[in-house]
Amino acid sequence: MSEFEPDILTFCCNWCSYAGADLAGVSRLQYPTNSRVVRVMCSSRIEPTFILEALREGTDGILVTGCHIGDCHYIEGNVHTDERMKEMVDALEHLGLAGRLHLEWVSAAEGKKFQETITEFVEKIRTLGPSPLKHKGGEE
Amino acid sequence: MSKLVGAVAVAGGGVAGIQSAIDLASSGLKVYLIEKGTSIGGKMAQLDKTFPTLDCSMCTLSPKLAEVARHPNIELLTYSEIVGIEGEAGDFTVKVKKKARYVDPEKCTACELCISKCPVKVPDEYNEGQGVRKAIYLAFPQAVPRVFTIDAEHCIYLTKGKCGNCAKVCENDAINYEDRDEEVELNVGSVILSPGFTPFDASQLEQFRLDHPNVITSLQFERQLSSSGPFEGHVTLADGSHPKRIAWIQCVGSRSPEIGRANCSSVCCMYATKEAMVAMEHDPGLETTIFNIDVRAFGKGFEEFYQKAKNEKGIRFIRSRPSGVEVDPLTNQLSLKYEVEANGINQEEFDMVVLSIGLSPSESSQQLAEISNVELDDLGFIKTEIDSPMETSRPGIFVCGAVQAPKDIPDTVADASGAASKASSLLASERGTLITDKENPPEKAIGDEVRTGVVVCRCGINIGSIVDVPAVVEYAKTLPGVVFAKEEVYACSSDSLAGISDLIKEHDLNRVVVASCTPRTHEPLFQDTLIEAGLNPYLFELANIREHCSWVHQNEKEKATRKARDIVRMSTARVNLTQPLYTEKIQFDNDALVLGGGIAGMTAALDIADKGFHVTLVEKEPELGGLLRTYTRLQDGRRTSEVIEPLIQRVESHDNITVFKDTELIELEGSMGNFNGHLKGDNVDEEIGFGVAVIATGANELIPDGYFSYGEYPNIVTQSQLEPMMDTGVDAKTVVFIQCAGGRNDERPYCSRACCTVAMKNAILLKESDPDRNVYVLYRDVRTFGKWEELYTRARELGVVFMRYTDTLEPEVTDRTVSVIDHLLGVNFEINYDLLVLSAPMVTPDTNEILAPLFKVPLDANRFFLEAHIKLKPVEFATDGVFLCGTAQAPKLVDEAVSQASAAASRACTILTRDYLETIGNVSVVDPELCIGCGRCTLVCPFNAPELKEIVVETEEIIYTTKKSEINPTICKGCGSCAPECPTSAITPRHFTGPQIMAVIKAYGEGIQ
Amino acid sequence: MRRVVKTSPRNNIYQENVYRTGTNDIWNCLTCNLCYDGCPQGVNYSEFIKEVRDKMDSSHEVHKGVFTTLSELMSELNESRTSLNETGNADSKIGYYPGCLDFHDMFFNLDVDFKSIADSSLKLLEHLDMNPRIMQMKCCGHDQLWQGDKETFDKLKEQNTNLIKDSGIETLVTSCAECYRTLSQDYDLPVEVVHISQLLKDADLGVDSGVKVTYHDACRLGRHMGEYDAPRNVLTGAGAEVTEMQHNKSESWCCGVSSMMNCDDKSKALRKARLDEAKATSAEVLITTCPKCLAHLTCMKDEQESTEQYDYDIKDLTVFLAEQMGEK
Repeated sequence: MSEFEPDILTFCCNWCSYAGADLAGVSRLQYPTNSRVVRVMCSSRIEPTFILEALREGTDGILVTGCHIGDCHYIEGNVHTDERMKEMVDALEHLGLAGRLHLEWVSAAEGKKFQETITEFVEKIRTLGPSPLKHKGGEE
Repeated sequence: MSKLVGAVAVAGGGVAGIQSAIDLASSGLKVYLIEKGTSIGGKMAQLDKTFPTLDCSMCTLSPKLAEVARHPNIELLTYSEIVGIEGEAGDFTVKVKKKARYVDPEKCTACELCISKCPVKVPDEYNEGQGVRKAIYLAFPQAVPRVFTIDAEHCIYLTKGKCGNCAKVCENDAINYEDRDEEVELNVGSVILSPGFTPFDASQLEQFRLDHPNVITSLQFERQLSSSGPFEGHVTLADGSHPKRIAWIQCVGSRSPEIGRANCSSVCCMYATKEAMVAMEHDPGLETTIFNIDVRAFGKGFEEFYQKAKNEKGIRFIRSRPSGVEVDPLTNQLSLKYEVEANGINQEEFDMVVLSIGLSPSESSQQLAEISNVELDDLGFIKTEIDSPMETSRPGIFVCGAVQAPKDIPDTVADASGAASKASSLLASERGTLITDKENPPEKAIGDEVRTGVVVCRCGINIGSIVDVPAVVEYAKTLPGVVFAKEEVYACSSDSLAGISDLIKEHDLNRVVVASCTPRTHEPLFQDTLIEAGLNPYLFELANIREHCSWVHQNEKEKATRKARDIVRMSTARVNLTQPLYTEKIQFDNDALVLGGGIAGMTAALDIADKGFHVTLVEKEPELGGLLRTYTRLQDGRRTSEVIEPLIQRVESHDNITVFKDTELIELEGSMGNFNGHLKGDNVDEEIGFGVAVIATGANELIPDGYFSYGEYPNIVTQSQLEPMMDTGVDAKTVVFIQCAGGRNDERPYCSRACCTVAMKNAILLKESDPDRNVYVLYRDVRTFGKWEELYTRARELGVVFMRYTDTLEPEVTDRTVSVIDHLLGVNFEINYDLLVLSAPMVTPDTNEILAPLFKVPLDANRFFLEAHIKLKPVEFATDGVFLCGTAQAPKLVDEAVSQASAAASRACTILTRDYLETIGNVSVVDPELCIGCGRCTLVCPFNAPELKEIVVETEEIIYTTKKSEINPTICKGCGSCAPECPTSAITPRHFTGPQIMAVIKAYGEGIQ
Repeated sequence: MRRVVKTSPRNNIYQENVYRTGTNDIWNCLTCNLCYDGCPQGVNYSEFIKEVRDKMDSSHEVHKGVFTTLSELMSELNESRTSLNETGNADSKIGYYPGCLDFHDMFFNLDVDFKSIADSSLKLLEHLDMNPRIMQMKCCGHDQLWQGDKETFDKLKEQNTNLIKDSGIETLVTSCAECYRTLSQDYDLPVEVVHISQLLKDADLGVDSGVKVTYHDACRLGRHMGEYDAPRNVLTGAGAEVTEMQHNKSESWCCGVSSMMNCDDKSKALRKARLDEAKATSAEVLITTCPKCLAHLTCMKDEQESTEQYDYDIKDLTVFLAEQMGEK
């Protein structure tokens, strides 16, 4: 059997982390192909149910990325993201899915950090193994 | 003036020029933004982080770059220089030389194919010579415009007639070796000079050994810190290792009259502190030392930043200026020799030395000044007056930014808006004459059936060589809702765009997905195509298969193709659920309210009134004039009354200004465009309506009770008490000044910025009026920043004695003596004084606590008003339609208050000049039936867009009054932060709705194998 | 529900069972049992609703909030649990099940410390010399059952039942009215299920608080389970002065939200009526035994710009008692 390839869903905010991902592209910084990006205007748009639905779909890991605290295009949206995602991390622990959600700030100038974040998270999830919800069929 | 032209030329595309251009263009004037380099962005684009908040510089700047690129009223002339300015205020002819780019901007798609084939390597200016670029290049990844340029000096084809690789590989035929410089003439009503500064060339000071590979300039260090820099954010020595000990030497090219650079550069102390702090974040074991004369942490939040750097981060600040860098001839080891106060000479080794280079006027700005025929000052900066800091010696030509004096970003931005205000006042009658509104075809009805078209772009080989584009096209055809799919070589080329427009008609498409590159640069382009084809721009989605796929998975073609299919599927799922969105046009009140009748408030009021809008000016005191009434002289020797009195007269006689004195604003409701306020005074009880407000409520001098025996003896006064005394002659043989009396302490941790300059001015006046008089200044740091350093120099020349004290060893005061320990000599001095003058900081008036909640705007830790962004929005609040200026924002000098006041007026007029307020399409909306009025949305929205409004709910049996949230679409920015907070999911952020995002997540799930 | 929405149980039953036309009114019902209690024919409308909902497609009707999704995921995940990462006394024959309190703390965003209900319950049980095992169960599935997702409910039920059986406990204590109803009525457990108020009703807590309180009957503990007296007795026993609201015991009004569905301005009308009744008693504390009643009532009381001021506190029974014990 081939090595387990994690499926990762990455949320990016329009102004910083998406731009950071763009910069990684412009700089041709190579990283694993496991992640797919969902763009939102601000990371504070992300609702807990988005995370849970992605898990139900069978994703092995979820990365939430946004501007560094202080850099938010909407002043303090990411402060709310921070609070909400900390709660989600706890909730996932209760669900037996600890470690599958990670929050990282990536600025528009941090193409390198975006590359590293994806690479490290893919490896972390690879070690963690497939999500127990994988192949449960998602929607019945 | 015979003729007025409704256009402005802005010379210099750094952050100053960008801000001026945006302000003017948003006020109905045509703008030509002329930039010498290949991209706008200026020095700020090179910075890693900005002090004192350590914000990412590029993150905050790049949206402004995009705004300039997109603005219909701005014409961008990059790689261009002004070569002549003829005419007079209102009607100038500006000659511009557009340098040959050798790349057709209409054809270049910035696909980068040419870069890989260009054999020439040139030191990269963006990285300050650290690393290389090619002869055909884009200045930096976020460059605007995104058009390549051939560097004719280094191109082999242009110099030797060989190579021609770029032309061979360019699939769009964009290379034109026959391109030649051309000259164009622009007819404008005003010119704004914003060419910025040039970093001081430290190589001319050989003693600092810039030739040594581990001695670098602060700007080079900045690039090293940047993750987009030459070492991906790792500070690196010549041998590839990382330094353990770094020293900064301050004032290289500043405060050095012997080399003609007498001014302080204003920003170096803070940027060095920032660089040390960021470097230590990257490498926690790093030892950092900053060698300085004084630490000039004078701006808002700077002193607190400095204290944090020193006390919490462990950055060493050594008050000594090494005369040079020593290099061991055998080991090549760097070391610095420095004086330890009262303790002799020390020598210490460092791995890296960073030279904190100053801000100098550039050669090209000197030429520009000459072409513009404006006067320069002794230091080579463009000359202005304290009360008119944006006005040059030539009417109609204004100036902003570091070409006027060394200054930091917020002061530059304020200047820039201020200069725009001046130009805009001059041309007020010509607003809207040279700009045209684009006519769009009517939108077609989209019906219920989803008919999505997908275009997959090869982007030459950028995508096509990695992703199997035909396979993605075939796959797209199988997706729900997709009725048509095809590939394009360059989706963004003009013929492809026309093709997309045809497809929409031919296949009756009502949704479009383009799978190509990033929406951040290309979405507006494709959206315009949709609009031209009669489709609402929100029925579009860009699937980013280049930056997020082909470019980052170059060695995994199969997996990249799978990923591209997933991205297209996710984008299609989303686009299928999009709905047309419309902006709303809302009528509004275009009167202004200015609170505070000091110099800032009066200037703001006049600047707004001069543009034809009515202003209500409210002053709580019985007279206009504010804080400046208590001072008698300006730093340039003029009496303050010479400035204040004419201003008061103009305000009081202005047709567009109504003044209320002895009056306060006590109630306020509404929001931008439609505020209603209640004014109350002894003889005033009035309701007023207005569209915007400027808070210019100022600050007061602290009454320094309890500091240095103030209040105990009659011969101890403050600066503002001293000034009127000097008019009648001060009868004191020995005068002692104590700086920071009540400031820079636990209670008031900020620096009050102006006091050193004020003290210097008064020390000079005292010494000049009686050269035999002894004048002592006891200080902690002398912070005569920028050009005011000259006052410090003059005071010393006149024999004023300066003695430093520290916060732990303060001078002791009795009724006749001050004793202080001199740190240079380590000796205790006792001075018998006749007059003791305390420099007390500016403090906020109590009314701030009332006004802040009234306008729903924040105060900072020191109770000054807190602006929306400390760097780029210095005169705005996050709350739309409310602005601030002057000492209400932070302590400052007169010229700075004036500059900010004009800036606030300019920003306010970008609203007032509109015919109506227009919302964005993707605002959030509240479903009133679901809303239970809990108000959580009001807590998370930083813009105060949701408002709770009272409503009566009638159910079958129960009728009750409650409040429900309503989101003001003119204020909402569409971030969607409120939606997750809503317990009943009553809030829908349009264009990022729950169902849309869920559909993307489900589509993602379908790809999980 | 007639109080805020025009609805007729008879009409709905006819539409569903006789005319077979179906009705959306099915989703409006709070299943509070007020009609059942007053029905001369003894029609258990709530049971009807529950059955009908199970047959319907709920996906467009139910406001699928985070709690619903959490429970659904929990039913799929072997290692999941609701709250309290503690085991207590693993050998005890008494089990305490805290319910979804941690999730309430995470997602309700109210100024309420839900976990303190568990802490207080354990403190009270300790006072009774019961040192329970803390049950690492999943969500009891109450909301899924009443939202018409019997499939998820059955999974949760099966997993929880196995866990309870394996634990060897004989008594299962809950501090939540919904858990209590679900575990005793909708599960088939070989253990005795009790609500904590029932254990405390005769206990001497050693306090004489003197605080004036009023008690809000949660539908699930009151009309569903018929337990009106135990909580009142505990309060009286602890020296609290219990003043009744206008509608109390079997006539008590609902907090307005059932199974995390349909919170809107109609349901808020009920909440408003309830808070007003409590205000009229001039009690210092409004006591309830259901964390969701606590959440919903507090949500309205703590509005940012309330049109009405409610000066009393709203507390769970256990928290109130534990606080009184702490203060003595």
